[in-house]
Amino acid sequence: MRCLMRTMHKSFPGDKFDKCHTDRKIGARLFALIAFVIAGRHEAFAHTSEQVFVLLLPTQIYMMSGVAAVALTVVVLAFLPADAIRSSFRNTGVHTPRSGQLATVTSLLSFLVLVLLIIVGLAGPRDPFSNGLVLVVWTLWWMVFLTLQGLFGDLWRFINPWAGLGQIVAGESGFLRLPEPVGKWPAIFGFFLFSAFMLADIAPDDPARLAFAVTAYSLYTLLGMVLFGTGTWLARGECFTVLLRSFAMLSAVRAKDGRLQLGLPGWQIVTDRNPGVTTGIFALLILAVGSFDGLNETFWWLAKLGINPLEFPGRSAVIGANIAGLAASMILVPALFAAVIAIGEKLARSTVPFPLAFSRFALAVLPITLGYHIAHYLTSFLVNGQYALAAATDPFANGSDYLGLGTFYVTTGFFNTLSSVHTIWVTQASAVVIGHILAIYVSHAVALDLYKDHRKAMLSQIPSALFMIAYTTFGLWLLASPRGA
Amino acid sequence: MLAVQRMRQKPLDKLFACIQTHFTAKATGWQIRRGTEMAKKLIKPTFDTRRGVLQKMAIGAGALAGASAMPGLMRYAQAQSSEPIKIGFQCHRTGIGAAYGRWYERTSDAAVARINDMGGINGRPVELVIEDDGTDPKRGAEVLEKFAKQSNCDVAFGTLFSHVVIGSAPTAGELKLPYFVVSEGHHVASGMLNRYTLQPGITDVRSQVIAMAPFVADNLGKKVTMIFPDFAFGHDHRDYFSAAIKEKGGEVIEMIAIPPTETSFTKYFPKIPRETEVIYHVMVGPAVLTFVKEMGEFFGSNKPEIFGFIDSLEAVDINSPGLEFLEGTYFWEGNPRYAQADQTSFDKNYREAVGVNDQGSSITDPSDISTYAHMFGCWETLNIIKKGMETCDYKGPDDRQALIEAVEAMTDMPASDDHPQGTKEFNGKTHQAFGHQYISQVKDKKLNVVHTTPIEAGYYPEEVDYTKQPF
Repeated sequence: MRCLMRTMHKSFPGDKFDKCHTDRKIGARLFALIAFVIAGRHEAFAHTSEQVFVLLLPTQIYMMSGVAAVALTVVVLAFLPADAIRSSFRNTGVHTPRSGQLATVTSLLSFLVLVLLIIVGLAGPRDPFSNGLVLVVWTLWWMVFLTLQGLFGDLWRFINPWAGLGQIVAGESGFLRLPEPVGKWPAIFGFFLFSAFMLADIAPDDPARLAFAVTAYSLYTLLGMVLFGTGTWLARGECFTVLLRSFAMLSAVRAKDGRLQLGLPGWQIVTDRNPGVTTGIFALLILAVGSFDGLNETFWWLAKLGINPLEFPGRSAVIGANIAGLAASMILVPALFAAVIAIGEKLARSTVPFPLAFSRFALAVLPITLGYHIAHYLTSFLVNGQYALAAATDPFANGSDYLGLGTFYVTTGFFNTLSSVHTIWVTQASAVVIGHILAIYVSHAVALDLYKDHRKAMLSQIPSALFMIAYTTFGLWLLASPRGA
Repeated sequence: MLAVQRMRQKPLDKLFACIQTHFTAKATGWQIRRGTEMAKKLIKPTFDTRRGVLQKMAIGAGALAGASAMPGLMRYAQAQSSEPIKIGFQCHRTGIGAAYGRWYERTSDAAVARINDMGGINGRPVELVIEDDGTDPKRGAEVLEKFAKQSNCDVAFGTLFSHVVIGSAPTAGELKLPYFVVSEGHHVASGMLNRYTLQPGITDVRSQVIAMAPFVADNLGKKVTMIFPDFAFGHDHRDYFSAAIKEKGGEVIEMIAIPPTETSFTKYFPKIPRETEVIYHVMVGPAVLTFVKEMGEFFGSNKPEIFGFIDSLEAVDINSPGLEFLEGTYFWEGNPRYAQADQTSFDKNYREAVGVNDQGSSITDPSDISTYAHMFGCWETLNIIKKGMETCDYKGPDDRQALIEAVEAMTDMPASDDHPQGTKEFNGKTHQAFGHQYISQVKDKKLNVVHTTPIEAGYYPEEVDYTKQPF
């Protein structure tokens, strides 16, 4: 999405530019980034105003150990006893009161809040960083809540603004039946539209524009619930519920059917024995959108478009390119992953049906997606979170200070000092690398569950482990890449 | 493809416009309410403008307002019954200009708080209506349209990046909306824009560059090697400076154009001729620190004189790791980041109002370095709008032409609390201000002003007379 603090310079319209020369340095920085986590080195400076220090990172030597360490996780997994892996994903649980009615009540309250926010979007401050709707949707919800959902489980069921209303207005049975083979394609369609709005629209931060989009999507969701029933539409047509339920599978805890279950993060993925092909595709699409979100800002991508990143002409100049790139990513990533699984199946001489293997392994990629989500939005959150705080203390833009913040200026100084930049970098890189390691571990456990045989599981995992290493490298490259959009 | 996208967007835009007009037209609208709040608050000694950053401006703005407290008092009764004057602030909230946008907003908020503390404009409170232009020319034009048609702004103001100004100015002309820009671009004075677009609060890049040449030739050396990014921004420097240094008896002996996507520069340094006395650099973008670091490694302790534009390091701490090599080198500064020994009271008051300390960083976070060389332009432009409106007794949109004429008639703008950067001369024909430029040397990891150019050093022949264009 939008990264807020960009490099600073004046721009004058003018010539095109020469060929890109960035690759070598990016590789070097990537190595350095991994080295931060693996080797704990402190030499690197990292970025000020997000980018300027990035390119000063030290080089090659650390990367070898970084990638070696990542590769080592694969080797270690291959030699870990199968029983140890299996047992690590066992879960335990306690009985808890059911929270269905409570969720309906909180959901209705959430709907009221959403209506208020839409009004704020239409009639409130025109500055996106002062407008409650923009700050809640893009900063608190998209950046922060997705992460919380991934860490703490399905909190969305309590704040889903449409579910409670759906229960009252539409109930569980709709006028029509959504055929089973349709799977989650309606949600995939919705997610594509949302992603296009986020990445290609000229001003998704514009309060009135966002209010319009939220209203339109709410009406669409209500219509879907009325037509197909609340539960069905939320599970298969409402893209955010599908997305957030996917992320919730990463959590150590799950509250379901009056039981609160606890296990190693990822246990829900390992124990979901038949998630469905479109569930797998959706999980991969979250990764695809996140990847393109990062990619479309890089010098590399802009160079491909023939755009000088130092005088980026603005989003209006890349609407078509961004939609095309987004669509291509959403096709390429699942296609590539399908090929990877097919090769793994062949290597393992597996008799497991391909759709089942594809869908189960696709969910194992979710930790990488969440890790990258955290890393990608961390810097934006650090800035926008302050704007949200300022708006919270003065919600009516009349100079009040309900939170007692006193003199409060939004700062980006933490991009300028070594210690804070170091912390930011370690956090970002840790999120990516931890996500990667968990993904490999979960994937291996799924393989053991699918193939039963340790050798088969190991063989089947070679292509997908390579895929994950490549993707993690790509994720780190994105973080270390110079950006211009 | 793009054309199709744009056409498809239009109906949506119209719908947004309808919805927004509906809401903003209602008395319950936030902006109107904010205006009323402002009117009420004029009675109080301190005034909070909009939030975004919560700014308790009482200290700085109050100090500045002190001298004119009495006129303010006399206007209170009138202010309470007046609608606010709305200034549409086209702000780089997102996109590549966001770092500048944040400080432009902070400075503008402070300037408006001070104006309101002094009684507003013509007895009416001033309200900033902020719209994000996304650092995008098409969006910039849309934003101007919103100012004129939806939020009923009296004038538009603010933006920095040249492509946004150039993309927006035709809309300002069509809507007959006075558009005060703070972009430094030469596009205003070059004649490519229109009568409704003015740049009275900041000098343009052509003027800045040619004002540097005498100092460079007289003090640093006559044989210059230029290193610049290979696109229009760098080419402007190349063209203006090489002509200006020639006039002073110097010459550019080598021009090293660097591709914008370059992130390593070691292969370019051997191209610097041995007889080079001065290196003139204007690198920008994320690789700028790498550039400085690698240049330092190339030269070691035996470096020629080095002169650069602070644009390269605007909002970057001069004490950052890797910048040690800059010790002893020179920079152009639009406004000195570090408070100098001979600091004026105007600069002192201005810093206090914006919340910037003597090192040019935020008072609440010393590591947050401001865009000090540029953002004064917002402060000064807002004061010029005020003065223009007072001169023509501005009442509403019908007086927009009179406002343009009032500003065109301005000439001397003496250094004052309204013009803390220094005295300026405004050329009404070219719609462009001319002023002093500062040359600072990095000494003990601080930027110390070693030379202030006379205003005339930045003059060049007029290329347009906007006053002859019809409204």
